[in-house]
Amino acid sequence: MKLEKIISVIFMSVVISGFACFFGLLFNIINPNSISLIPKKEIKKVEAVKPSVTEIEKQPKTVPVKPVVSKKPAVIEVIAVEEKLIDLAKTKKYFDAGKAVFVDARPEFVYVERHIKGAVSLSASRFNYQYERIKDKLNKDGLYIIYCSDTNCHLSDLVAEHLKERGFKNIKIFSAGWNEWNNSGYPVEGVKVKTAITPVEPPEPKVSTPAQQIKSPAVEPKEIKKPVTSEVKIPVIVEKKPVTQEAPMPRDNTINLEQTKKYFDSGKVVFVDARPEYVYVERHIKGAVSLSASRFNLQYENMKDKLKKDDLYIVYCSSLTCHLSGYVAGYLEERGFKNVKVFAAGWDEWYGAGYPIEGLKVKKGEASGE
Amino acid sequence: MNKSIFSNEKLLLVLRLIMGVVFILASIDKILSPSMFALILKEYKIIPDIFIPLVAITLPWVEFFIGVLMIANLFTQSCALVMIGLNLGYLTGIILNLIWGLVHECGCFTIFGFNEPIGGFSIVRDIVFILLCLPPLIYGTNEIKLEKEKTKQILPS
Repeated sequence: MKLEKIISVIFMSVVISGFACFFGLLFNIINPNSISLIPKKEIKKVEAVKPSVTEIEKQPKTVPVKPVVSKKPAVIEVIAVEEKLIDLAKTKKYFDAGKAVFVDARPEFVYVERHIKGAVSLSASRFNYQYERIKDKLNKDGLYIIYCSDTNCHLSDLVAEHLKERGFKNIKIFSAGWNEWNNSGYPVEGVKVKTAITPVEPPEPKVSTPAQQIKSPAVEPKEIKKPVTSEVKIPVIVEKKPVTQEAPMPRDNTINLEQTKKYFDSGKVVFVDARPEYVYVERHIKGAVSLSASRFNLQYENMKDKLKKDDLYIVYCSSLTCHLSGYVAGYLEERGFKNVKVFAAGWDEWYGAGYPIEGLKVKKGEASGE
Repeated sequence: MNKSIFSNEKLLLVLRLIMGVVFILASIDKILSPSMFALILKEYKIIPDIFIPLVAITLPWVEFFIGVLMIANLFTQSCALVMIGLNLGYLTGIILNLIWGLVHECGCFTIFGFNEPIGGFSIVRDIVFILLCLPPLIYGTNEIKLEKEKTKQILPS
């Protein structure tokens, strides 16, 4: 009897859940904010919509001073009537003029992958932490344009409220957000951007169109010119100032796998593992030291005499979604370390690339890195 | 568990109302903007990318339906079972992510702009929700009340 009841309860649970799922799928058809059941492959999409070299050259060569009537559909114009909301055309004008700071309200890991060129990350859930780190670079009288993924995303409103509470007066929301900006082929950057836009990058831009003026290294102002070779030669690291508009946009210190590997090969860097210590012990980047976010103070006290504050430190965590590297980088900067970079893609990408690692659980074939 | 306390009708009513409202509130924002929920699900790195849109579309509706049914006292035990299952899933996801060192948006209650990162609070909250679901699961009823009254009327004769 009891078994029958248990079975009937489980059966009804399955029926209710199944019905709810079915209803959800039906609702998705009529939902104005519906999403596709098949996940989009963003990189391919970027390649498809990115304008070619000739298209970039066709863009206006000077920044129009007078406001131009937008060619966007009427719906977007209606939204733009509200002072706070701006559409793509206006956003691009502000971008070209270089008078606005773009704020990415999406989760930080999405920002690290791809974002509007020069944007800073202030995600809604980690706003306080991120704001504390960059508040000195933000001018409260400046214009801030906040964007999220699309019109369905409300995080830009939350971030706008947070900024208002902190005394920022001139805030606008780019409601169509990242998706429309990206689809329009406007300048973007991030650790995953390079592979997507490389095929359409002009070899040597001659005309200084607005789109080309802001073309600079994806995230990092430093560029390592020599290719990676198996020789022991140390690559020459050349400081290359980005040729950008005069926007008051703070740069972040994130580097990608390629740059990290070059620093690693140069041997003039200290790798800091921000993951929990027991994970570090098992496997970590060859030569890395452990400064986990949770036990930072204790570990730092034990090794602070060995750490030189002028050296270059690259902090990494498990992957793009792991924020511990950001915490540890912040702790190091608070203690006077001037040259701290974050390898955002972190351990997963390093390990996946087969680069040198060490640790208690590393097998013979794993550690070579060749 | 002391049966006399946890089988109390009033207590069960209060627990049903609490859990029903909690699940409905948790679902509404996700139903309205599944794209945002999909982004948060992706952060958990537990569900394969190909299934994320499907889960983002259906999961909020499961939360909504069991919340409504719980309040209406329909299939209470089944709803409580689903609630416990969902909370166990969320709990596993949060704990795994914290172990992996991933701190990101919880995606639990995005309504009213309440958006917190995963952490100890999320874990404690989910455990409390599971505990609150236990009395309705054990002492609740899975029968429709009208039928129950009919059987009660028939029995004396």
